[in-house]
Order: sequence, then C-alpha cells, then structure tokens
Amino acid sequence: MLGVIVRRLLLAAPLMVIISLIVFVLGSLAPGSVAESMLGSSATPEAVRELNRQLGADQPVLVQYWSWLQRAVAGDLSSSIVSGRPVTELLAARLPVTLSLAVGALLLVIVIGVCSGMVAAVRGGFAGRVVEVLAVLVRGLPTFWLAMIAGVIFGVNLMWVPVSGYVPFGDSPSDWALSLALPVGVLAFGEAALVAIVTRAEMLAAMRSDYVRSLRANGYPWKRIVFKHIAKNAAGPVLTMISLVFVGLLGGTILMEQIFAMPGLGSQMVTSTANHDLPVIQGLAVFYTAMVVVVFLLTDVAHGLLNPKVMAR
Amino acid sequence: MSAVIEGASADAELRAAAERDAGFLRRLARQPLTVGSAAVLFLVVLAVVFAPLLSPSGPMEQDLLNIYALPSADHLLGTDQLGRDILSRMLHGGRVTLLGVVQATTVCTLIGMTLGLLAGTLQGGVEVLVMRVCDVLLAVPGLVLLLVVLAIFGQNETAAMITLGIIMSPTLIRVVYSATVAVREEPYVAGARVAGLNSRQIIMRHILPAVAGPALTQISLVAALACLVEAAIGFLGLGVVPPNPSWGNMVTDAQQAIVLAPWMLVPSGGIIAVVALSLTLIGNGIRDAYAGRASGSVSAYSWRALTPVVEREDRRPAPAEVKGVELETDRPAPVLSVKRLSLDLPRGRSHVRIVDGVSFDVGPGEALGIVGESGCGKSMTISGVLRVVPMGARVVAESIGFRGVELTTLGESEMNAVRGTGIAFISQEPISSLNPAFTVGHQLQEAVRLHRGTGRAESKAVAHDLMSRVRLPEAEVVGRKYPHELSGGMAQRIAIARALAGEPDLLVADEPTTALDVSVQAEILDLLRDLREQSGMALILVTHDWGVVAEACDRAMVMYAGEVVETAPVRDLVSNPHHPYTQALLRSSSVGAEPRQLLPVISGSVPAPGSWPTGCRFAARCGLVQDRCLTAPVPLVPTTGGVSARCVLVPSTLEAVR
Amino acid sequence: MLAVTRDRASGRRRTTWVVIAMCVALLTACGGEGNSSSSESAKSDTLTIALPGWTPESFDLPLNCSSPLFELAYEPLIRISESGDYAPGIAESWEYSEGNTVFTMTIREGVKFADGTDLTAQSVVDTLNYYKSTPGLNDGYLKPMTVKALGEGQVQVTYEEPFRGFESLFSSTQCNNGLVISAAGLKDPEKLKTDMFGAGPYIYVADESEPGDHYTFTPNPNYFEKSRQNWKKIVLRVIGDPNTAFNALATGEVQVDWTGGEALLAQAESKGFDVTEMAPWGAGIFVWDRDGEVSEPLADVRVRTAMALALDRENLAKAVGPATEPLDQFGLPGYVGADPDLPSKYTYDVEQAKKLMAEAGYADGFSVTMLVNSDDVESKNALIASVDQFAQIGVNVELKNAPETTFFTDIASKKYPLGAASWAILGDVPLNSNRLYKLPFSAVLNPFLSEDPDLEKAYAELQSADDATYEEAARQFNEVMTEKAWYIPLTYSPRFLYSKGVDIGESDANGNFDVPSWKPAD
Repeated sequence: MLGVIVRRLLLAAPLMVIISLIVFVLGSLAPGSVAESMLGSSATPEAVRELNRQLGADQPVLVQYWSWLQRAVAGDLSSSIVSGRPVTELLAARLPVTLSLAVGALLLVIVIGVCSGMVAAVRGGFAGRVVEVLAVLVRGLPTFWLAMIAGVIFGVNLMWVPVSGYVPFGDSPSDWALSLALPVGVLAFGEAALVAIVTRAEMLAAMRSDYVRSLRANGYPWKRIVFKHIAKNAAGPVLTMISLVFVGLLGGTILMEQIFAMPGLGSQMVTSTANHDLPVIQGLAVFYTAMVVVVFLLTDVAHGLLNPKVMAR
Repeated sequence: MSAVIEGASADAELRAAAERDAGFLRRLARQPLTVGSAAVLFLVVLAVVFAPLLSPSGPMEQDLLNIYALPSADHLLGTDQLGRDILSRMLHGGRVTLLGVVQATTVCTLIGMTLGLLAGTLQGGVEVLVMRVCDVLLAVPGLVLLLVVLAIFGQNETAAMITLGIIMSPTLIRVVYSATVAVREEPYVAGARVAGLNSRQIIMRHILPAVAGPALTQISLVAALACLVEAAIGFLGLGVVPPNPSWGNMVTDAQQAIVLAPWMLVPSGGIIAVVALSLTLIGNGIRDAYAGRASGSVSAYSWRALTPVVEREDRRPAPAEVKGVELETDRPAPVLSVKRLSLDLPRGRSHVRIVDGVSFDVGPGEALGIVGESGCGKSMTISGVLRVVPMGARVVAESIGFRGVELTTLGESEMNAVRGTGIAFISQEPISSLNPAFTVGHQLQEAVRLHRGTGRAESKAVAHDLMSRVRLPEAEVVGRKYPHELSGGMAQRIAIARALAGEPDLLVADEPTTALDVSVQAEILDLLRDLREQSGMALILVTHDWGVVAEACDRAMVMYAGEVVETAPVRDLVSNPHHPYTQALLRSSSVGAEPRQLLPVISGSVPAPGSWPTGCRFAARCGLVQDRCLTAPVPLVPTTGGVSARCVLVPSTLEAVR
Repeated sequence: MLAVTRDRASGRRRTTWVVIAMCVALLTACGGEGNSSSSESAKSDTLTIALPGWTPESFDLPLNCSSPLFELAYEPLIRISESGDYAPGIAESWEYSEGNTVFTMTIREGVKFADGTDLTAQSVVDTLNYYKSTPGLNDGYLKPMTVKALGEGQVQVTYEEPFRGFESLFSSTQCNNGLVISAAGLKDPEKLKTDMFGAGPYIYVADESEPGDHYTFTPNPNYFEKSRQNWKKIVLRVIGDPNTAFNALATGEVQVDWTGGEALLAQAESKGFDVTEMAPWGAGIFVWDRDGEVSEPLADVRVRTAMALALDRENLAKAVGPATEPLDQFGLPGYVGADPDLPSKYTYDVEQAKKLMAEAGYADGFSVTMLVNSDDVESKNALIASVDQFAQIGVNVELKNAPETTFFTDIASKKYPLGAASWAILGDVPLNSNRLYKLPFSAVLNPFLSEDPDLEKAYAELQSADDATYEEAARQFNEVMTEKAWYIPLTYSPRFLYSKGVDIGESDANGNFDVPSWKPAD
C-alpha cells in the first residue's frame, strides 16, 4: 500500500511541475507585463522598466519560473496584482466555499449515482431506463442554464433556499447547508447519472462474470452476492469514474460560484481572468491541479484496498 | 477452445452471430432516436450555415419599439432586450458556437486518433509516453486551463477551442488505444503482418475499421461537451464580444432579463440543449450499433433478469413421430431426473431456443458426462437445471426432479436452497470462478458458514478440513492468498472444496479441467473420483474431451445442436458408438488413437440456435445423410443396454419411425 | 455657499423624482443628534447591502474610486450629507480664496483614528502628500497641488491655476483623496491594499470578509459621532447581477439593493420596496482620439457630429429602460451647467449625418474600435444599440470589453479611439469639465491629451468664476463641449436603490450616499 502511495506521489510531483510550467510559460506570452498592470494609468516606460527589474520580470522565462517554483515549494505563491493579497491567503479564504461545493456535490453524486445505479442493475426495467434517459439528458443540458432556472423556481418563487451567497459553516451550519443546496443540487444532478451508468454497467458486467455464476450456482443468497461480492469488484471502476467526476465538478463549481455569487476559488478565477491577474491565475491553476492529483491519489489508494491485484502489479 | 466461459458469453456471442449479417450502418439506421437526432442536428447545422439567407433579419438589427416581444409571426422566437429577432441571433450565434465545436472536435480527433493509434501499434516507449501525457492532461481541470488561456490570449475563441480540443483528447486517446490493442491481438491482424502488409496498410485496412465505432462514439460525446463548454465561456462573458451573438452570451442576455422576459431563457438555453442532446444521442446510437444491439436494449439487463422464467410443461402425449419413445428409467430412484428440459435465450424482442427437450437421469453416486462441441448446449443444459442462466432466459421443462423434489415448482429462494447443499457447481476457469477481491480462505469459510450455519472458528476448522480433503497442503498459507496468486490447479481445488462445503448429493462440473495442464487435469480427475467414492456423491461432468469422459464417467450423453443425440454407458459409447456424430467426435479425439496420428476434423460447424433444420440437425455434416434424414425430426430411441440414439440408421429408431 | 447653490439647482429636478418619503428622512435627521446618547442597545443588528459588481477587491485608495467600503472605514475631509450635499467631516469648515487658487480647511479637534492615535492637521497634510506622490486615478488633480499645515488647526492647499473642484476632490464623492489615513497606514503603504487605516464610523473586519465578495464592518469605538453608528454590524455583499440582488432583497438576505437596475423599477414598486432615486448617469461615447492619431476620421468635427446625428435617442432610451430619457448635450438635466433651453444640436437625422460624412470625405464610412467597461451594466444596452445605428452611416464600431480593473490601463494605452463609461458623466458640468477635459487633471479620461482653444477659454472662465457667474460659465462650457462633439451623449438614466426597512437619505451628484447615517426604519 505504501508503495502505491509513494509511486503515485513520485508521479504527482513532475505532473505539478509540468502543469505549473505550462501555465507559467503561457502567462509569459500574455501581452503586457506585471509592472504595467500594477502601475496602471501612471505607467511610464521608465517606471515599467524599473519595476520589471525589481520584480525580476526582465529575466528569461525559465529563470523566473525557477524562482517562482522555489518560492512555491516554500509555500509562497506570490501576491495578486489587483488586490495585493498573497495568493495563499486568497486560497485559504476561498477554499472552504469551493470545497463545500465540490465535496458536497461529490457526496450527493456518490449517494444518488451509486444507489440508482445499483437499483437499475438489480431491478432493471423501468429503473434502468430512467437512469439511461437521465444520463443522456444531463449530458445535453447546460448546467448554468439549469442553475438559473433552479434559482428562479426554488429561490425566488418557492423561497426554499437563498438565491445567492455563501454562509460559512462556522456562522450557522443550517444556513450553510441551505446556501449550498441549489448549487450542489444542480452540480450533482449533472454528474450523478454518469456515476449511475458506470455503477450499473460494472455491476452488470460482474453479474455475467464467472465467479458470480459460481456463487449463484452454489446457492449464495442474492443480497450477499450483490452487496458483498459484486459491490467490492464494481467499486474500483466506479471509484475511477467518481474521481473523474470530481475533476468535472471542480470545473462546474466555477460556473456555480459565478451564478450564485459565492466567494470561491472559481469566482476568483473568473475575476482574475478578466483582470489579467496572472499571479493569481497561476497559483489557482496549480492549486486546482493539486486538488485533482490528491483525489487521484486517494482513488489509487482506495483501489489498492479494494482490489488486491493492483497491489500485485 | 478459447478461454471464454461458454455460459457467461453465450448470449453475447449468439447476439453477435445473429446480427453479424446486418451491417453497422443498417443497425444505426434502425434506431429511430439516432436517426431523429441526426436529422435535427443536420437541420440545425444547415440553418446555421445558411444563416445569412435564412434568418428573418440581421443579428444586430434592432427594433427598439418592440423589445422583449413574445413569439409571433414576425418574430418566431420573440425579440430580446433591444428588439432584435432571437431566431436570427440564434442562427448567427450558432456560427460562432458550432465553429468552436468543429474546431475543438477536430483538434481532439486529430490528436486522439494519431496518438491513440501510434501508442496502440508502435508500443514500447511511445506507448508509455502517450499514456503519461494522458495522465497529465486528465489531471487538469479543463475549465481552469481554458480560463488561463482566455486570460492570456484575450477573448480569443479559437485559442480557447483548440485548448479545449487538447484537454478533451486523453479520453479519446485511451479509447482508440484500447481498441487498437484489442484488434492488434486478433489473429487476422497478425496474419496480415505475416502476409507482408506494412503498418500503414494494416492500420488502414484492419485497425481503423475496428477503432471507428468506439472512436466515433467518443467523438460525438466530445462534440456535445464542446458545445456546452463554448456556451459556458460565452455565458461567463469570456467569449465573443456582444453585440455579436453566440449561444452562450444569449443565455447571459436571458439571465439579465430573467424577471422581465423569462421566455428568453427557453430558446437560448434550449438550442444548446438540443444540439448537445442530439450529439449525445448520436454517440449512444453509434455505441449501440457498434456493439450490435438495438438501442436501449441494455435496460433489459439486470439481476432480476438473471432469474429465468420457469415454465412447467404438463406431461402430454408424445407427438406422433416420437411415439413409443421413452428413455429407459429402469434404474432405481435417480438423484436427478430431467424430463424434456428446454432453455430459451432472448434475442432482440423474441427468444431463441438453445437447449431443446433434453431428458436424462443421474443415479446416486453415478457420474454422467455430457459431451459435444462447443455451442451444442451442454453448459446451458446444466445451467437450466440449476437455473443459473444468462439474463432474460426462459426454462421450460416437463419435470426436473431432484431427490424426489420437483424443482420446476420451486420459487427462486427455495431453488437457491437446493443449490450448494443439494447440487453444487464448479466451473471451467478455476481462477475466475473465485472472487478476485477476497482471499480464498475467506471465500471458503464463507461457503461453510452459509451452508452449515457454523460459527467463525468452526467454519475455519471445516474449511481447513475441506482443504485437506482436496489435498491442499498448508491451508493457513494458501487461505491467505488471493485467487490470482494461485495456480490453476490449486484454484480448482479451492473451487471444489467450496462446492463440497454444502455436502451436496450432486456435483456439477462444467469443463473442470479444460483450462488446466495435462498433469494437473489428471490430479483433479483423480480427486473428483476419490471424493465421489468417499461421499457417494453423484457427478455431472460437462466436457468435450473423451479422455475425461473415459476416465471419470460411468455414463455419457452426447449433445448436438441443443438436443441429445446419444446416451450410453461410457464403455459402450466409446467402443460402439451408434450416432454418426458420436462416431465423428470419437474419431477426432485421441481416445484410443495411435500416438502422433493426425486426427480427422469434422467438417462444417454446428448450426446456430434458431437456424436448426427440421430434420436431423447433424445432416449437413453427416457423411451418411439420406433423404429421410431431412424431412422430419428424428426421435431419440432406446436400443439395448441403456443405450439411446437419435439416428435413422440405428435399427430400433428405424422401426420407431415407421 | 457653493454647495448650497448647487443643491438648489439640482434639487429642483430631483425632488420631482424622489420616491422615498422625504419627511421620514428629515425627521430622522432632526433626531440624529439626540440619539447620540443612546447606548449600544439601541443599535440594530446587521445591515446587509448588495453592492454592484465593480466593488474594489483592493483597498488601495488612490487606485480605486468612491465606494461605501471606504466611506465606512475612513472619515473624509468633507462628507456627503444625508441630503446629498457637502457637509463637514474632518474639515469643520472650508473656504476658497479669491480667484479659486487656494483652499483652506479648518480641521476638527479631538478626532481619533480607529487605532487610537490622534488625527491632526499634520495627519491631513501627510495623507494628501501621500496621494500626491502615489500613482492614482486623480493624479491630474493632485500632482500640481501644494499642501501645508497652518498651525494646529488648518490645512491649506494651493494651486497655480484656478480650480473649483476642491470639495468634490476632498469629499468621498470624487474617488478617495479626501480620506484621511493614519500614520500606521502611511508608514507601510503595501498594507493599505489589504486593510483600512481610517477614522471612520466603522472598522473593517478582515476575518469576516472576503474581498470581492463580502466585507464586514463593526462600529469604531473611537468614533466621534455615535449617531452615525446605527448598526452592530454592516455587511457589504457584492452581487453584480441586478436580478440576483433584487431577489436577495425580496428574500430578506439583504436590506438594501444598491445594484438596483432600472428595469426592475415596476417590480420593486409592486413588491412594496422603498425606491430611492440616485443621481442619473449619462451614457455616452467619448471620442478620445479627437486628433486622429489612431483613427484619422475622428479628427474631423463633421465626422464626430455625423456620428452624434446618426443616433435615434428617443428609441435608444426606450431600450435602456422605462425611466431613461434621451440626452443631447454634455450636461445632465437638473444639474449645474445643463441648459434645458439649448437647441438640440444632435437631432436624429441620418441624411444630414451622411451628408456630413461625405463632406468630410468618408462617404464610405470607416471602422473603429470602442473600449467598453464590461462592469458598466447600465450603459450596455444603449451602447450596443448605438453600434447598430452607427452602421447606418457606414461607421463600423467594434466593441472591446475591459473590466473595471483594467479599464484605465487600457484607456491609457492610447489604443482605443472611442470609449464608453456611463459613470464618467454624472452630476454637474464643472465636475465633468475637469475630469473629461482639462490638462493635467484629466490624465485618465483624456488619454490623447487633446486641447482646443474654444474649450480652453470656456474652461478658464468656469474655473475662475465666482458664485455669481458660476452657473452661466458652466452652461457656456456645456455648449462649447456639445458643439465640438468630443463626447457623444446617448441617454441618461436615473438609477434606483431599492431597500426594505432602512431609512436612506439622498444621493449626491455622483450617486453616493451618506451610508453611516442610514438607520432602521421605525
């Protein structure tokens, strides 16, 4: 098990370096310079040159990257040009929102997706058809559009949930849950069907497998076969799907934060994109990637626990 | 024999066989949903391409006196906040959105196909490199990278959509790669290589057609996603700059008017949904057509479908042509007595018969071998008895009596109680018949607990005892291993031990030795014989190997095309086969043959279920075929000494037919 | 005195519009002082205000413009009163010298910063010198000034040229140069980006805030006027989308919806919200490149006039909103310098516009890029609608979006011959005259540093005017500016603030309120 983690971590490090390098190099291609953005309307050529020198922006890209990387490893992701706040502070302040959204949606996806997938696999017929139709539908519907409609219906007309904003858990757990209800619901709705489809497919595949045939032929009760033997085998691929869904959810949080006016990483990303606030964009991009890498790592560990063959590899 | 498990794969094989004739496109055209989606998509694309000709007014042309109008004859979809015709804006906006979709999809396809094929065909370093690149790309949250690119290149749609294409490519690379690897292993591709075709020719001729289905499925899903992402970019205000329309910024307009003119949400979001849905449905259609099944038929599969419909046919007067034909049942009280067992599998909306009226008895302690080529229904026969069948199957029988209990009248849970304790089962592939996710010790103890209701410690002791009975040394050590860590022989011993856990009266073994080495085969057969002698348990052994039959069985039953063609004591059958098929089978096997003698092969193949001839089913391959073989079904007629055969050349049959 | 004059001029129009009950505001204003003794218990709990999308993320005062954000934490030299006029803040009183070149303020005694240190005349001098030496939006105003303390109690600001805009410059209406910063803040200007160092009625609570999303304030115990601390907590929430903000008001998530939105006026009335009209914004297009550096045709006044003539303002106004009216001169109706009797120079006339284009040698039209502030939701529809109308005379305008934060840099890049920002035209003509024209004050909104002899003359007269000639000079400037078509007016829209259960005063000419005076309605 430790070997799997170490191997994954060894792979993750270069991955992070590659991603940050790509973002950094892309960033250096952007028109204008950090100094120009910082100096704003009072940017004279001399002042820009001077500030660029101070900031080290006149160095070759790779040299700049190296110093950025050194600082990043030490936990310093530099500061926003616009607000002057350290990127790490921005991350710390906004991460809870994005995590609440993504993890909340992920949990809902797992519960809804896995349960309906299992029901579809066990009962088939109508349940199976519903899952199949939903899977197609949600793939075709723009979530931001759904979110708006949901906002109008549940927020404005029915007034069940607030239409915007985020309440920190510390302030009021119940308001926190309410403020998350709409975006999490919309996000989860979009992805749950994918998990359901994979759950069903994997369980159906297992049902046709030799070992299930043997178990059935030797008189094992169906619940034991489905919920113990099939479940453990189907869990691996479902987990993989769930980790991919998480990546999709991270993207989805950007839209949801925008629509529901929530102070998460995504709305910061959009603002910074519009502002060309490159240090923030770089920092956030690397951080998003890190989150994905961590989730993939956890998935691999879970895989190892579920499937002894992975360990043997 | 390939390593495919006959029972588990039979339905897929049969389906593929049945629909092999119909082409991929024909199957696609038979799916109304796919055809409809394609038509809708085609119309939308056409309308968008010819937007300047079709749209009622210019996309920016405003009518400030007629803002937020609902649909009318003048404005089919109403007007927006500046009185601009929504339909016209939609058509023109589609040019932006669909162009983006085309850009992203093209980039994705080029990268996906190229890298996937390269990795799949070249292997080695390229394969590793491509897969690593995929890992990297998969870890990037797509929308985040898109925002980065948009931040850097300003609001440049093309740059964004090309980036999107790259971000989406790893999934396609993987799909193409695995399809390529799968087909690469096929003998005909290897053959082509031997025949001197170069890589390019092999790719064009063999690999591309095989990869096309999965790749097209993935590409249409990619296109659907690209449509949604392009719209999202426009919605976030990072795409095309207003007043130029795009589908995304039309949603933004609608959002801003959500209170005043909620109607605007419908067309703006609707068109995105229509296109993305159509693309998704087309993708699903391609997938289904490629897999050779009718659209949506998957929903018929479920655990519930694993439980067959069981119909009990009343004992009815035998049809005229089989009058007087009864199986010999002179031996006392058989453990298992099967009468006129049939098994149907679903094909499309109907069923096709796989096993056709099979009857046999197994006496206490007796070993019955069921012999035949693959596809003759041997495994399905025992599946029917056990009611452990592929999904959607139907079992029809006059009677299945086990220890005096009529199994056809039992419900599924009562039947389940018989399985394991009454009749136990071992299968052909010892390793895959065990659950890969649990240690074998655990699985064995679980079986003991289930069948004997013992506690944890006792179960363990019993399991150890069972393991020693199947001659597995070091029970502790072996018990801690997972199935994949065992050799085939050891795994089969575990499977046998598990089957013995319920102390069954009858053990059903489905080709238990086929996947094993010759020396291990002999050990397993020895073991089975010894166990039988110790416990007096009866045995049904399905095999295509006469050696196994001769070694382990008392009686044998030869099956062909779903029915029994001959049954006799093994010794009689080997020395004096009556049916031409039995004779041919024996000739093609090594039993009694001189070493190194070239074995004759039976020419032709077993007729597929559903296309069985009216007369003798073996007639097409029989060297002794006569006219009367072809006209009417041939009955199974007992001769002497417990022998029955289904051939007009057997004297007693001749008589019966007359 | 000037303030009083101005109020009369603008008030005429405004009173006809104001929807909120004036008497309530007056009553509370009268009772204000009396309440100062009332203790903490009288304070209501929390006031939550929805702010529009361009609320600053950084607290860098020179680089940001007026916002309630700063108004709460910083006390300005000159305050906006509840009725929208100038009122004493840190400066108890002030006066112009003869010829309007010297401005003297008397500093209130005994004021303390939130950090407990004393606010003295020297604090004011240090603050103003900080603004002067730091790059910022009002560089043009600040660079030429000389600041000195006159003893303990007075600060004197001197210009070489006449300047009539000191009150607006030193109040919290014309961006932030009147906000006095404590020594702690001035010592480390980097900190000014992320924290606040003022003497205002409230303290910024960083732990409960997320810049760009919400900002939390609690009362400043050192504040000198307790009647301006009516809430235990004030939360400013950024809700850029008017519908979302409106819905938040409807569901009680906020009590004040500053994001507003003219389109929602009828809805607000039907829901029984209080509707407060704010100073209108003129939507218009700046023809920055009057010298034709980037887009040659724009140097020709006939081309500029033709563009102004090509606009059907009546219908543009309808597209923007129910309360929007056409605007065909530089000054906004109801404010100093606007002239209701000025004959329209831009009556919609496409034929005449085409003729002018032909005379200028551009019968076939031309293409030009226009920079648009994407956070400026109010003017969006008018601008987009006008793009279509310019096409009638062959002028093909392409829009380039820039968010508020990069808008100024983009203007300064001199790449954009045309630009639009609705907030740039508001209130009185004198206010706009130096913002949009006069060198060196207008570094930001006159990027090509264009000059014109006629405008120069009108400007000089306006800036050195005394109270008697002030309004006439402003009207004169308005007329010349309109004539030259440096600015193509489109429409002007009243802006609305919706609220529930809060007493709101009147806005000033720039649309700012005296937020600390807001209190719960009875």
